Amino acid sequence: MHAPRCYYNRGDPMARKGPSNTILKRIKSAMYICLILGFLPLLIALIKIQLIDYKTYQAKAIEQQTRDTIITPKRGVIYDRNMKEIAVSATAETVFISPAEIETDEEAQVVAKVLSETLEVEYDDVIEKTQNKKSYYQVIKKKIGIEEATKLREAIKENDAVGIHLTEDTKRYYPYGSFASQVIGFCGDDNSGLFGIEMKYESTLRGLPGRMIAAKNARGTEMSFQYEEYHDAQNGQNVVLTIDETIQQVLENHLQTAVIDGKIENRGAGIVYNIKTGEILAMATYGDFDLNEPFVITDPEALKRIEEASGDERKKVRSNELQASWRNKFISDAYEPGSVFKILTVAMGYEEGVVNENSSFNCPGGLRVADRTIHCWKREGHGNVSLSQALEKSCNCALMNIAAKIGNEKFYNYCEGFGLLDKTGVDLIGEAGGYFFNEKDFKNPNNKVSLAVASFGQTFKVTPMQIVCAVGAVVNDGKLMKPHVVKEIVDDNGIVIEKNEPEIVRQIISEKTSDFINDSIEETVATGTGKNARVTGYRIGGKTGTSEKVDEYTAEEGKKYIASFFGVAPMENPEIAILIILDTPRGIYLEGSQLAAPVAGKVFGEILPYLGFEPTYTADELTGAEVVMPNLIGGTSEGVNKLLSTNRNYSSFTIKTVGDGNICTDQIPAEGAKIPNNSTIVVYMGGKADSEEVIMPNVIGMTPESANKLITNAGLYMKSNGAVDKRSAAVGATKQQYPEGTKLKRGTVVTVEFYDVNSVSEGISG
Amino acid sequence: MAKKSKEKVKRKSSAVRGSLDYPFLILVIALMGIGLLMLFSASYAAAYYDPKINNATYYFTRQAIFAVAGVSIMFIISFMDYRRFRVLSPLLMIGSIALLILVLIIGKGNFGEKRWIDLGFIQFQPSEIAKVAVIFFFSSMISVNSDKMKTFRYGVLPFVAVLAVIAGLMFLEPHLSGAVLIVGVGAALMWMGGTHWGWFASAIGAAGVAGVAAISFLDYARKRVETYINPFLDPQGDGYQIIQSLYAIGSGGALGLGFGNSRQKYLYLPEAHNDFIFAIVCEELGFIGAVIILALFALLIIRGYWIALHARDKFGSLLAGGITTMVALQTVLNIGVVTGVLPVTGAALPFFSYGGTALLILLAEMGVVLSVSRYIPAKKAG
Repeated sequence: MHAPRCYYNRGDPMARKGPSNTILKRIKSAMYICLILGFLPLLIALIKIQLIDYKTYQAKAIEQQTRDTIITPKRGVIYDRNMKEIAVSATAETVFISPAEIETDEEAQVVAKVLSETLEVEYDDVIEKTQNKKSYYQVIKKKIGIEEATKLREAIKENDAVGIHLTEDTKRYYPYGSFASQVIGFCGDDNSGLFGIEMKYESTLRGLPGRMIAAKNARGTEMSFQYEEYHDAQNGQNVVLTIDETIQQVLENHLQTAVIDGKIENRGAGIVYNIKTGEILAMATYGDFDLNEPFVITDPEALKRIEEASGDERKKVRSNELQASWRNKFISDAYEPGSVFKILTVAMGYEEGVVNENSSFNCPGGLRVADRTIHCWKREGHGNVSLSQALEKSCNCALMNIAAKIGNEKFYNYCEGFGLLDKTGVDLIGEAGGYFFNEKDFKNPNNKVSLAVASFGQTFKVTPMQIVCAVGAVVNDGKLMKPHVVKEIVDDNGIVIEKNEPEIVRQIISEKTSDFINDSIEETVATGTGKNARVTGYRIGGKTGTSEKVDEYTAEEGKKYIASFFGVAPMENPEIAILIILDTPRGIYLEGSQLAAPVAGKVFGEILPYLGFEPTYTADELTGAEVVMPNLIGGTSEGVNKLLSTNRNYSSFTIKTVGDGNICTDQIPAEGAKIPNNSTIVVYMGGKADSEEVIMPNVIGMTPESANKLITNAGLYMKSNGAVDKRSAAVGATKQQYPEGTKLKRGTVVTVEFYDVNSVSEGISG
Repeated sequence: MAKKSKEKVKRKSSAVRGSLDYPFLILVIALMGIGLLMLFSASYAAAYYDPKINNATYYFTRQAIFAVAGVSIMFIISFMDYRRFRVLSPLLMIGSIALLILVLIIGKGNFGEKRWIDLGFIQFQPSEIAKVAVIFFFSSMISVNSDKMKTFRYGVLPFVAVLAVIAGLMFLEPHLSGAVLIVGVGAALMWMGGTHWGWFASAIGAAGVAGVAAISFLDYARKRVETYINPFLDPQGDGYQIIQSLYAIGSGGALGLGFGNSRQKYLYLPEAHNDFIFAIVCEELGFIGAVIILALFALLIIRGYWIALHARDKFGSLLAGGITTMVALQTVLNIGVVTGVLPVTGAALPFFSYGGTALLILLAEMGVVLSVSRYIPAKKAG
């Protein structure tokens, strides 16, 4: 490089005195360089960072500077209508570790040891999680109970384990376990409802989470003195169901028995429904599952099917079985309603005036419709039937005649009016619609075949929920109610926030038609196909149904049926309806009259007294009516005699006195036993009753009379259920509470079930 | 050379001592006061959470003591005639080189480097003294040889030789940023003294070529530049400090979080009371506060140069110019690093960063500038 060489000196006089011009110029230039190249870029940088991009930096800074803790609100309680707790949230804790706080391998080993020993987690899994060195949050176990948490805390203290934390969480408990499972639904890990009421009312139950924002320093230490915000959590509101725990239990018990005894392949469903208010008092599907363990399959049949599947299939089968068990059959599975639907057809005809009390129909066993013959279920024919008998005998020919008189268009419009074309709008998750005829095709007057088969409830599908609402409307003076399962929403102080009032969707038929139908269906239970639903002391109406699942027919599986029964009581003023659906029975009985009607009868027998409906016995029924045995022990012979002879309930007892003391010392049966009022009781005046056990005899197949005799002779009492027509030789015992040979305490009440085996068939309507 | 210095000595006696330059003094006091307050706020958390200190006012108290001592020294020096220091300058130069050698033997540092000499009651960096020595020695040399500054022999060689020795010793410590600063100040003085611009152009060109070569061939250098261009490439490693600094500055926004309300000082931003104190200033006082402080620095520098331009003689002019340039360089280097304009190097912010001896020396230098200002000739004479 060429080096500048300058030897000259200007000799400026000022130069000697002060700084030279060069120096001054150079200093000035240095100043400008400093300001322009030095300070100006700094100013620009500050403008960019603080006035333009500041939001990004601010957000990121706050993210690292604060600890944002969500305060979980308490999820609302689900109550039954009597405020029994069906679903409650309890405090649980979630355990996590902060690997960033665990510095050495020794510390990690202590952590893994403590966690694996107290929480049943794998030692190696914990070690693996401690390797995410920068993480502050690695979940070890969710929702552990209080006891486990206490144990863990002690272990942490004892071993000086670092980096293990517990945070409060909540866990949903269902005190009744597998109770109305498909109605109530359950919650996921995040405490939000996955289906049922838990999902439908998620926003009500959930509440609003609170937040706590606290400042922390770079080491993660919270600094309570620094900018802290606290927003209270708002607890969820409580849901009060229209479901009655007692009624639900009764329904589930009998449904379970029916499904198991009847070898029902594709589950059974039932409802207890208040037709006046639209309230669902009980709704059940069996097989069900335990709400506390929703992912555990308990049904042995389902387990067998999973076991049979191989390899990859098994997982799929298991998942399908789970989904199926969660499915609320009553609202999600459409079915062919069969003969129960006949109530609607008759109501339409009567309402339209095309038939009346005096109408009569000839049933030769089948009718020629368009190009084919459609048979009545009774091939030999019913002969001449009245309108009322059309229901009692469930005669298809009569129904086809009635429908033909109503006509295609009106028939279709009525179905729409009964709500069969729309979902009912029940406040549950998963309600499905049905599969009904295409409007244009059906309304074509030439489409006689569709009309004919529809008249007895075949070739279209609706949900059980739609049927119970529609038939309920016919019984309820023609008023179609909107069904609901939630009665009200209350807050923590019990103050009602929202109330579901009865809602009339529309009036579809007149009271007069309703009255006629009610008389007919009462007669159906009293003497017709619904006999097995009879309950001594109550007037019950009902209609059986047995529909063929035509679309599911396969050669190897054979014909499949759905047995159903619609019942309503008390007929003086109908209020409570029951619909029982048993899908694909594979036992000896296939029909609704044999399988479903007895379930409804048993449920009615238990819930009607519970609901406060007083039984009224006919003179005939009064003999053998059930009474509760009073306490006699301690009374004088005079007092005992007076009590037993003056009280109308006890006046039919046959009294056997043992001993000659003056004070009653023992009695058979014991106080509180429910026995027929014409039983023989034993009063001990001195001494104790024979404590020797007696043997249960076999009464299967016997008439009620002979069964009672045998049981009484054995020193026991008989309570009969089902078709208790003592005079009919066709009634036989089908089930006894204890098997033959069981040793029982003298005076025990034994329940025996009777079926009217011969005269109950309504036939298979498909 | 001896002849000329005699002339100067004669002139010295004839000079009239005036009053010191109040604008400069006020700016120094203002920056010192604000700097001390901000140090209190910025060092609070670091001092509180340091288990060895555990006393929130530890750094502040120590810095305040040095500030009071430093301001006293500044006034004392301002009353002295700066021209007397001229004879001391070769001595200062030799002494500081000796100390730079000594520090390589007995020096201490936080990360194994040898920067500090510990005298027990006080610690100091020989490089701080070297800075002063360079300013004095160069000013003295230039004022003597000002008419030969365009030559290589007088205008380039001696200065480059001195800078090479000092910078070389500092590379060995190592103390790269200090070396850069000293070379910068030395070069500035050569520039003011009149060294031919061609040398500077050549030096800048050579530095550019060296830089490009380093980035191309050295992975370490390339990585450094990449982190500088985008610190978010390595947010937990090399980029961490600058990212935390940007979070602090950005959080301040236009108006700031208020004095004492910094969040980033809670151990997020390393060296919050030291090299990165300006980030906390920006966070607490916002854009407005930061610009006011930046303006105070700019005004101080303008006034410093003004004193240099009006100084009685070349030596005074160069002293004031050199000291001012040094403050300017440090300020720009520090704030440039904090705002991400420049790659991260360790440079303290004058008047703000924690460091007792550095503050003491800085205020002594301010005293020298004030001394120069006292001898500014009356207007009619200038």
